[in-house]
Amino acid sequence: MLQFDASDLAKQVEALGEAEIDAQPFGAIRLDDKGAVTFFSKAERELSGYGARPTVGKIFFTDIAPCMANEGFRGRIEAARARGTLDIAFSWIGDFADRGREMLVRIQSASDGGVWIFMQRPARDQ
Amino acid sequence: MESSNFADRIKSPALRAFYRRWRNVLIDGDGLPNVAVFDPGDLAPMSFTAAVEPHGFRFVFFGDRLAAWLGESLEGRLVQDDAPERFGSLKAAYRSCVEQQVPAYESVHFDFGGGDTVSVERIVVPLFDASQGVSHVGGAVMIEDTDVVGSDAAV
Repeated sequence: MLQFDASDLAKQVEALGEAEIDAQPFGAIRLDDKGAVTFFSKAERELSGYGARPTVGKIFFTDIAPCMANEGFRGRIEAARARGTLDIAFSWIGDFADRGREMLVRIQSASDGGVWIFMQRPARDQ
Repeated sequence: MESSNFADRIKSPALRAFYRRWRNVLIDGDGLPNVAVFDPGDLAPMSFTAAVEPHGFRFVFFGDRLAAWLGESLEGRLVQDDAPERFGSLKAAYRSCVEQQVPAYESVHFDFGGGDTVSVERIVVPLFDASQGVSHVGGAVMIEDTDVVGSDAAV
């Protein structure tokens, strides 16, 4: 199994076949350079349980927070995407009802100019 | 209601203090953290408050350092609550605060390559009105940007 925090996670995933990607304990989505979904792993289909696929890429670039949406910042994201060096690590933690649960998301440049989005969710029984 | 797990995972000491300030009101105060009296303390310039409206959330306060980083103030701006995303978005964090009445914390690290990085942390907490319903959400943001010297203090 691949390590979710590997610095070259996208490169490692691209070296796998679809069945091997499906077998990973985290979800994987690949977007092309237009933001369209070109791959959706079985783990992601099983773990997500909701239908936000077409928009899932958008949120990390334009909707993480209004505070992130200035032109300079977007430009740096786009430049990194163009260079193939983009690496974003996102985590979300809720209090009380979801105490200790942490969702982790990695976004890394894909070799074709798009991006990979990897999602690691807490186990339901934690 | 021990919160050490949540508080300890907040990286920024300033945001941790913001959360503890809110929690102290919740646990030791005279009532639920009230929007009219909750004080973000030293983080006011990096904090925001949004009112819950039927179709979204409207910023009623937007700290001046946040506005400086963004290039504009979002005060008066409506964030429409019509997106399907479950996480990652401000709308989702706000919705979690309103529906579950619990805080949410997010951190994002952007590595653009070549040593150019931006780290952002955000905490959002529910704020209540006299009816003890969640009428507002409040929060604070910390940003470290290698492209802006001293950004953590200047945001």
